[in-house]
Amino acid sequence: MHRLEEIWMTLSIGLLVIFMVVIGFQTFAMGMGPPSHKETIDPQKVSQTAPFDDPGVKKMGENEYEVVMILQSFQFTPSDIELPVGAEVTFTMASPDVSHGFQVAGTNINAMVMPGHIQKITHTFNEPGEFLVLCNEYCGIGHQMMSTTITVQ
Amino acid sequence: MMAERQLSRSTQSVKSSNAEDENSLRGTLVSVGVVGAVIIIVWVSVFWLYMSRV
Repeated sequence: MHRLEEIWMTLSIGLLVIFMVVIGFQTFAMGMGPPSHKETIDPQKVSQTAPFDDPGVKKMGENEYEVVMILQSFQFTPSDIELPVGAEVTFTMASPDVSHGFQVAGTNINAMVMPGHIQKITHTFNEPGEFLVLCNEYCGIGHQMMSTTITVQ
Repeated sequence: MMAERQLSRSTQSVKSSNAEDENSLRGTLVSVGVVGAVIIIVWVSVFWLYMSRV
C-alpha cells in the first residue's frame, strides 16, 4: 500500500472509531438513545386501557410530570399543554388508528407513535416559551392540521 | 535499430508515467482530506445541535 494511502486509511478508521465511541457512550451511558419503549397495547382498546382511559398532564413528583397522550387523526389529546419551567416531563403516547409522529420544534423530542405500541420519551424544559408540536408522520388527509402547543412558564 | 529505440522510449515513458501516478496521490490525499473535513464539520455540527437542545 502507498504511504499516503496508509495515512488516510488510518485517519478514516480512527475517525469512525471516535464517532462510534462518542455515540455509544451517549446511548448506553447517558441514556440518549432514540425512543424505543417496548410495551404493546391493543390499538382498538386504547381509550379503555389504563393509563389512556384518562389522558392528561399528571404530576408525578417534585417538578416531575407525565403527559398521557392519545394521538388520533388529526389531533393530540390533551392539546394545549401547560408546564412549569424546569419540569422533567415523560410523554406516554399511543395511537388507536395509524402511525403518528410527535415532534416538539426546537427540542430533541421526536418520536414515532405506532398503533399497537406504547411510546415514551422524556425531556426537561429548562427554557420558558411556547413550543410547537407537530405530527411528522404522514397520517392522512388532515395531516397538515395536526399540531398543538406546549406552553412552558 | 529504429524499432529498438522506439521500444526503449515507450518503456521509459511507461516507467515515468508510473512514477507520476505515485506522486499524484498527493492530489488524492488532499481530496480525501477535503471530504474528511466536510464529514467532521457536519458531524460536529449535528452533535452540537443535539447537545444544545438536551
